[in-house]
Amino acid sequence: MRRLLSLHALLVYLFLYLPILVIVALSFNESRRGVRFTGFTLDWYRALFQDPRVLEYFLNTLTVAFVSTLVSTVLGTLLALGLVRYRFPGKGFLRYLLYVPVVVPDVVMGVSLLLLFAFSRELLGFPRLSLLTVILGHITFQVAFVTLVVRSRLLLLDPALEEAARDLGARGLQTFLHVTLPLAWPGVAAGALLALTLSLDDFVVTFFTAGPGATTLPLYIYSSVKLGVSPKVHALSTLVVGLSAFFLALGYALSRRRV
Amino acid sequence: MAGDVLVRLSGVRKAFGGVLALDGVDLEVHRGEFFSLLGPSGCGKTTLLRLLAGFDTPDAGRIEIAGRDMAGVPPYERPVNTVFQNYALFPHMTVEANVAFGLRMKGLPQEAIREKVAWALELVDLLGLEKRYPRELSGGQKQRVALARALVLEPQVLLLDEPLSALDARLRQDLRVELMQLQRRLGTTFIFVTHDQEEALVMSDRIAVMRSGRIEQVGLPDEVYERPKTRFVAAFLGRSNFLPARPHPLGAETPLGPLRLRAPLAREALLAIRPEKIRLYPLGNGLPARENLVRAVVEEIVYTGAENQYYLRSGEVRLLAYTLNQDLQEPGAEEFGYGEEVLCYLPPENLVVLHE
Amino acid sequence: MNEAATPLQRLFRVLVTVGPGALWLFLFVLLPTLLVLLASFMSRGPYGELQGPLTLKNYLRLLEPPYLEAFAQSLWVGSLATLLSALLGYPLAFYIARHPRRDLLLFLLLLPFLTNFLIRVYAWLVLLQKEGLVNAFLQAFGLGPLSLYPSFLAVLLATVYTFLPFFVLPVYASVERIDWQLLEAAYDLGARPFRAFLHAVLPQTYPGLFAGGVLVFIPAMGTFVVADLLGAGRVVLIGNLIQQQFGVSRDWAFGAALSVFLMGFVLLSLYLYARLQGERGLEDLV
Repeated sequence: MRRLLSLHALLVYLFLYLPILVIVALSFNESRRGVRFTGFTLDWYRALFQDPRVLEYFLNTLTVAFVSTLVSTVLGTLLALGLVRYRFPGKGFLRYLLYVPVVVPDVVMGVSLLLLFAFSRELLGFPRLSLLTVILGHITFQVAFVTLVVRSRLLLLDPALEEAARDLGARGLQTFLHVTLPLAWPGVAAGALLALTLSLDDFVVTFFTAGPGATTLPLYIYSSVKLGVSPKVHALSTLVVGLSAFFLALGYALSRRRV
Repeated sequence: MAGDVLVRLSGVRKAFGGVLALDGVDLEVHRGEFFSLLGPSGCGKTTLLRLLAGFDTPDAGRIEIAGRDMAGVPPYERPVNTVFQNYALFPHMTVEANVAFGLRMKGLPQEAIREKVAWALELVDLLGLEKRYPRELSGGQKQRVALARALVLEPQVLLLDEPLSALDARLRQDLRVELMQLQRRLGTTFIFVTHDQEEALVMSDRIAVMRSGRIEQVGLPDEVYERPKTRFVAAFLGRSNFLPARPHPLGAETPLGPLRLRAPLAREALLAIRPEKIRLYPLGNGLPARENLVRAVVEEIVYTGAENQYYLRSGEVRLLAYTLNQDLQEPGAEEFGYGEEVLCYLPPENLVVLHE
Repeated sequence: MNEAATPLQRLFRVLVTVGPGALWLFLFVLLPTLLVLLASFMSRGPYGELQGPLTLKNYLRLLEPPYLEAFAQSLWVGSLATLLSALLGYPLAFYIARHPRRDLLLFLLLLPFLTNFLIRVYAWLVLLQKEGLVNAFLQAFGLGPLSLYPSFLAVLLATVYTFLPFFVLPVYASVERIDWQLLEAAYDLGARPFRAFLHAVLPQTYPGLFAGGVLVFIPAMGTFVVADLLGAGRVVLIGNLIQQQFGVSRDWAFGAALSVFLMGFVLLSLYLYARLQGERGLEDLV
C-alpha cells in the first residue's frame, strides 16, 4: 500500500514537472522546432534581450504588480481590521461582496470591468484603457485576497493583547502601531506576497482591461503563443520559472528559519 | 488594613445580546485591600473586572475609582492595570520591552524607564531574563512578567483575572503566597477574580461571592465560610449538609428530628452544617450531649490522607461528615467501618440558618 | 472592542478602516456586476455598442444549440477535470500528509503552480504538438504521430495540470486533521482495511474533498485560456463564447448575458456546496 502510494506520488510529481522541464531544455536548443536536441545555444536569450519591446513589457508588468500590490495591501489590511473589530450596518453584505472576486471566473471579472470602464468613458469621458485600468482591475481582485488572508490572521490574535496595550496606557493609534500591526504582520506580508503573485500571473483581467501601450508579459506570451511555438517564448518562460523558483525557495528558506 | 473606599460600584448592569451578565451590582472595595470576586464561570465576575478596566461599558449604574466617575474614561486613562488570565504578554517583545511598554506609552525618559523596569523585575524576581521572549518562559515566569508589567505603572488598583488558573497545582500554591506577600509589601489594592474557593479563602482580606450577575455575600473569609447567608454560598464554598427545617420549641423540626439551634426558628428555613463540624461517636459510649444526636449508618468511606470522609444515612437523609486522621496510627484502621451504626452530633452553634 | 466611545468616534473608526476598501468593492465589484446585468438586457448596436431598448432576447439566444453545446462541454470539462484531479490528488494528499518532509513536498507541489499560468498551459502545447515530446515518445514505439493538439484531451490535461494544487491543498488540510484513532477503533471493532478506510477515514476527508472539487470545477469550467490555446477552436467553452462576444463578434450585450449565466451557475454550485458543508464551508474555501 505504501509503495503504491509512493509510486503514485512520484508519477504525479513527474506530471507536474515534465512540461516545465521540457520548456527549459528547449530554450537552450539550437533547433527551432521539435524536441530533438541539436545543440546548446543561448541565441534565444540573446534575441529576447535584444528585443526592446520585451523590456518595455517587463517594466509594465512590474509597474502594475508593485502599484497594485501596494494599494491593495493597504486597503485590504484596513478592511480586514475593520471587519474583525467593528460592527456596522451592511457588514454581512460587504463580506459577501468580498467573496465575489474570489469565486467569480476571471473572464466574468474581466468583462465586467471592461463594461464599467466603457460606461464610465461614455458618461464621464474617462478612463481610457491603459496601464491605469489594468492596475485598477488588479487591485480589485487583490483586495479581496489580501483582506481574507489578513482577516484570518487577525482572527487568530488574542483580543486580550490589544486590551492589554490599552490597559497599559496605549491609545488607539499606539495600540495599532505597537501591537496590532506587528502581530498581524505575517498575515499582511503573506497577503502582499499573494497579491504580487496574482498580479504577475494574471492574464485574463489584464487581457480585458489593457489598452494600447499597456502590454504586459503575460499578454505578450499569449499573443506569441497564438502565433505558434517560439523558442523566444521558451527562453522567456525559463527566466520566469527560474525567477519564481528563486523567490519561492527564498520564502521557503526564510519560513523554515523562523521555526 | 481597611482604609477608605477606593472602588465603588452602584447599580451596575451589563447585558450581552440580551443575556444579563451583571444584574445591579453594588460593591465597595477599600484602599489597600486584597479583595476577591469568587463565583462559578458565567457568574459575571470577569465582566465586572472588564468594566473596572474599561474594556466594556456598563449599560446602567455608576463606577467610581478613587472618587472619580469612570463613565467615558478609556482604559488607557484609568488608574488601574490588569493581569490577564492567559497573561496577554506581547509575543513580539522581550520581557524588558513588555514591562517597559506602559512606561513608554506614558512618554517617560529612557533612564527612568530602565530604572523602573529593573525595580519591577526585581520585585517579581525575574532579573536576568530581560532579553527573553515570552515563548521562552515557563508558565510561572510569564505570570511574573504579567505582574511586573502591570505593577510597574504603580496602579491604584491591580485587577487580576484568574491569574493562577493556567498553572499547575504546585506552582499555584507557591505563587499564592508570593502574591499575598507582594500585595502586603506594596499596599496596592488587589481585585482578584477566581473560581477557586480555596484560593479566595487563603488569599483575600474580603470576598464577594457572585452568582448569575449578582453578589450573594460580601465578607471576611471566615465570615463567608462559617456564616454563609445563602444555600449557594454554603454549597459553593466548601461542602455543606442541608436540612429543611420548620419552627419547633427546641429550635427546629427537621427530617432528623427536632434540633436545638442558637435561637429558635421563626419561620421555615434551611439549615446548613459543614461536614467537619459533625462529630461522630460509637454507639453506647459516654455521650457528649442529650440533644442534637442522630443515629446514622456508614455507607461509604473515602480516605483522603488528612481526613476520612464518611457518607452516612439516617433514615431518608444522607449526611457527609469529615474526621481528622490525627488519632489513627495503624493504616487501614478506620474509626468506623462500612455498615456500622454511629452517632452524629450536630453542635447547635454550627447549624447555620439560611433564608432564601 | 466595546469600550467607551462616542458614536462619532465609532463612525470615524469604521470609516477609516472599512471605508476605502468598501468604496473600492462597491465601485469595482458591485457596480460592474450590476452593469453586466443591465447590459445583458440591452441590444447590439450597428457598431457593436450597447443600446436600448431592454429585451430578453439575449437570454433566449442562450437556448440555441451552439450555446447549449458550449455549456454542456464546459460542464463536461469541469466534471472530468474534477474527477481526474481527485484521482491524482486524493492519494497524493495522503502521501504528503504522512511524509516526514511534507513541507518540502508541499513546496514542490506549489512551485510549478506559482510559475505563470500561461506558461503552464503553453508547456502542454509544446509537449503535445506534432513534433512534441509525447509524439516523439510514441514514435519510438512505432506509434503515431497522433494529432494530440489541438484536441479535447489536450484541454483536459492542461486544465487538470493547472488546477491540481487547488484540489490537493484542501484535501491535505483535511488529512492533517484526521483522527487516526478512529481507524484503529475500526480495526479494533473488526473492520478489514478497505471497510475501515471507507467508514473511518474517508468521511473525515469529505470537507477537503468537497472544497477541492469546487475549487477545481469552477475555474475549470470558467476559464477560456486553456481551451483557447489548446483547443484552438475545436473546444469551445462558455468562457470562450464570452471572450468572442467582447472580441471578434463585438456583441457585448450577448456576452453580458453569457456572463450572467456563468455567474449564476457558479453561485448555484457554491450554494449547493454551502448547503452540503454548512455555514463554515464558504470560509474554509478561502
